[in-house]
Amino acid sequence: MRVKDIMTRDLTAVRENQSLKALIFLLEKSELSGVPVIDKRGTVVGFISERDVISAALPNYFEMLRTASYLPDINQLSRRLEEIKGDPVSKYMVEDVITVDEDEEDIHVADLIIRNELNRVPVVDEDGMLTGIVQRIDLLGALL
Amino acid sequence: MILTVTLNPAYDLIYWVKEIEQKGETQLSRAFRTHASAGGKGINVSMYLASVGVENIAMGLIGGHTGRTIKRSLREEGIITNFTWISDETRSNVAILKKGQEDNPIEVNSEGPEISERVLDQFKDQYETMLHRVSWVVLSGSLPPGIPKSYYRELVEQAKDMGIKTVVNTGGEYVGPAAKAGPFLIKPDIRERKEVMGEKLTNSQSIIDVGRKILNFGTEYVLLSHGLTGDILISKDKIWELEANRDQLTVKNRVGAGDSLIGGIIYQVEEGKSVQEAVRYGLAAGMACTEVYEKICRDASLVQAQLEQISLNELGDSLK
Repeated sequence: MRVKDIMTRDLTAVRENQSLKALIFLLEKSELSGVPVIDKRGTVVGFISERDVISAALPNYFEMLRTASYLPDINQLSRRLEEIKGDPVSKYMVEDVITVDEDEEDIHVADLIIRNELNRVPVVDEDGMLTGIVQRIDLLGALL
Repeated sequence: MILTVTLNPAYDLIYWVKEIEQKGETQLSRAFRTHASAGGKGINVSMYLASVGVENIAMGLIGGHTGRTIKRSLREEGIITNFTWISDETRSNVAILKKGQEDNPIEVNSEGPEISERVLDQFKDQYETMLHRVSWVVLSGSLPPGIPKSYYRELVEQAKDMGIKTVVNTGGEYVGPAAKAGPFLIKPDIRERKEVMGEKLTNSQSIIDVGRKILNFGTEYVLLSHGLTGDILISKDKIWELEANRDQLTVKNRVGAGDSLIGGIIYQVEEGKSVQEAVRYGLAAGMACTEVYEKICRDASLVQAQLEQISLNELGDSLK
């Protein structure tokens, strides 16, 4: 099976100059955990998730959770989010984004998702323009 | 690739009832059939196009549980989605079709949620991005509160600047501003009011006169319906009258028929047909839709049967 057979043809994305506040609104309303970042023409230039937003606000948050020796102050997260909410998405996105094209084999995407601990991989055309997304659940559904 | 824009989408609930009875203090009826689907005029066009295998993108404004339901159902139809999210819930519209009076439905449409300037800016950004990958834009339906009446004009102009053909299908106060931007084709929706840009539509001549007025703004084609089964197409050079055979029609549901008409036109123009032949096909697609309970007719034989019944007559030169 190929990517085009399992992908979700949804172009939900943020533009690189949009604010973190706009991103959080989008993630909350669309119930997505992360979205591709695109330029004016729709070319994928990055990926940003709620995890990236939390890391932006509290850079050591996830390490703190792992050690369980220190419980981060939720008010601190709230204060930091307030400070950075106007920053552009491009400041915190993952630039070295992993993408696939529609003709790639599903096994290749499964490998990418597992190796890189990803939930969602943007699908792009030959010009790098966003054409959809492959989610881990799409792959699981296809494997059933 | 085709882009449809639905700024005021809805979840359509259609009920077929035998009668509405007075029971105590309530008028009550049990529906013997129901149909629920994503709706709004542009979304209906997208669903028609997907049903005939034409790849298309649906965009517009959605919110809440209803918005998510609309998005999911379009995805299941194979439609590419790129919606802008709003804080409030997307509306639901209700149509009640009484047995024997299916061509005269009771429709209850909500006005739609209030749209903020921030949402419109976000939509404009997404629209601009989508224009880079489409050859047609269909702008359909009403505008929810908060959106200026001239908004379709801006969207038509933006698409035209990039060499993209535009089709506008809207009614009432939205027609004038959109017409002034000179879309490729405009189909004023006159279901609610037989009036366009202040001119009453009483007969074929008044329809032609309004069509001429709109053409002067730079629109290439104006399509106006007279009744369920007839259309008049007006271009700079010619006028055509199309008439379906009303006697051959058993109406089950006319909700969305006009949107299949628009979808049929684009489908056929993309296939290389002339606009007048495409309108003939679109009218057949719209007629066929009235013959099934669902909003979209997926039975090509019904469309073909209608097509054979539709006459296309040239009436003469339009701007003389």
